[in-house]
Amino acid sequence: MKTIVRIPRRLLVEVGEDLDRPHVFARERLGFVLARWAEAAGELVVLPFEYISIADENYLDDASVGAKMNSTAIRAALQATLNSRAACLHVHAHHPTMPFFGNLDLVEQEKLMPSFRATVPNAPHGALLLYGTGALARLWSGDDGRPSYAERVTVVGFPMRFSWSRS
Amino acid sequence: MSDRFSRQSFLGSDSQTVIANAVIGVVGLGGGGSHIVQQLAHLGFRKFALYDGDVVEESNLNRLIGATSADAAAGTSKLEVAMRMIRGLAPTAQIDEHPMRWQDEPGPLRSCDLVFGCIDSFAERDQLEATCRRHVIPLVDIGLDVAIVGDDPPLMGGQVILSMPGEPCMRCLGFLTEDLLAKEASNYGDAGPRPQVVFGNGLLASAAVAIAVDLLTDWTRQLRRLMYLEYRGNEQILRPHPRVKDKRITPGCPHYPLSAVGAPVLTSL
Amino acid sequence: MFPKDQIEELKHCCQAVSACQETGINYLFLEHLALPPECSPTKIDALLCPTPRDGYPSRLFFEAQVQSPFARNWNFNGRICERNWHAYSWKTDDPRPMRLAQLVRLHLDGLRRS
Repeated sequence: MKTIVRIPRRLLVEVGEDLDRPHVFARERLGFVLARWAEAAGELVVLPFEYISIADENYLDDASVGAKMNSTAIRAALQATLNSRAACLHVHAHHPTMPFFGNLDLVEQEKLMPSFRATVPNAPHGALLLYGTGALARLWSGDDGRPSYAERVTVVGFPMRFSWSRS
Repeated sequence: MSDRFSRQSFLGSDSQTVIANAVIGVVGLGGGGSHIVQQLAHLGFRKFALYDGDVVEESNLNRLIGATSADAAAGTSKLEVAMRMIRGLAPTAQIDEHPMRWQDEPGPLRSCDLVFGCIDSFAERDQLEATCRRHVIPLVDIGLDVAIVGDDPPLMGGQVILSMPGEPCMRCLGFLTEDLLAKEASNYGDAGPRPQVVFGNGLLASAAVAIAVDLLTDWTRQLRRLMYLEYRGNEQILRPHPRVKDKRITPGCPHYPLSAVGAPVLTSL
Repeated sequence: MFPKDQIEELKHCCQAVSACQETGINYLFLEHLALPPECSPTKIDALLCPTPRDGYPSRLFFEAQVQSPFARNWNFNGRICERNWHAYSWKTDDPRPMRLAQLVRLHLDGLRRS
């Protein structure tokens, strides 16, 4: 089934402002967005609605990566996911010249997703990448337990922005 | 860019890609919707979800773009007329066709990137906006009204409203009110034929399409706030509604908070 | 938001009660609400709006039109909370002093008397 992610610009601005904040030692910031979902005509529409920021103290000092969160941050996201019976998308940003997940991103997603899928099964959990004015989403939405890229991520607001997956 | 669209290349280098890939819903294919569909097809839009359960009648021919006397005689559906217009310009267009009320098959609407609401009643507008907000879809609503009061000249008015998820809705703007919805409900079935005219529909439809194209392509780089245009047909004026500057209309929307997206949350009691 | 004892009362006339919200209006979803005798079907999903809407002090919506001994003016056929509902024109008194179960009974009266 094809997947579409539709994110309100108002929410995206909130995410961007948080991710842009400098951290004492982490070179980038991470976060989560909660999302609901709906079936359309042969498509799954994923609708982020709330941002979960990661507190400064929940970053781990690890120079080998841009940023790493601790288990408290993950537990907080899992709790929010459970409470709202929502899907959860891990979110971070890349420079516009890197509009794709890095190998390390993909490995970390594989480690992270089983907990979310166990917390709210059947929800399209995954990861959202913001780059410049574009975005990319990788979601675990099928029964086979394998991720796939959203066909498009649409930013809904003034103006609209469409990012079509290259995969 | 193909020669067909070379004269609209000013819309932006990737505008035709956006236009050709955007999925557009049109609810209501009468006086307003038929204009909109025609313009969308000319612009290069190729993916549609169309809704209308009515057939062409003689009384529609004063304004239904694309319809012919033969359609009225044969009782051709308005959907068929719209599809014929699109296919005449784009034979391979993907049209998700629904000869019914949108409420009876709302699923395809959820796939749309933008929806045009070309419907008569306030209650239906209210419902369509609720569905679009739930699925985070911009809605461009148009409507034309002609009031005939006593011996005065008829008064023609109308509106184009861009209802953007996360921003003030038609209730926030004071366009949809409980009083208006109550009044309409009390007149249920008694509305009778409403006066409509092609030039009024055409003007509002053009404005609606212009807003949609700007929103999708950002060619003016100026559309950054809610749009509520009022039409004063007797004066040939289309202008921002004074309520747009009302300081009581604040950013965001209390009626449709972002937390209320997706299927409704049922709290078991 | 809704008094617990009144929700328990409501459960005597339906299988389950849940709450939902749209445009700032709080609704009660009544699963398999029992309908008066001689109505068809005998049970139906319903949505109670206990506050003013569409010019009515309160409204009861049904998932389909109900066949009853008295013909009713079914004047609402539309969508609320992502589901299609039907309602007939039936004005109750001011619902504020009423218990929710009493309000539902008053609406159902429309199906058992002219």
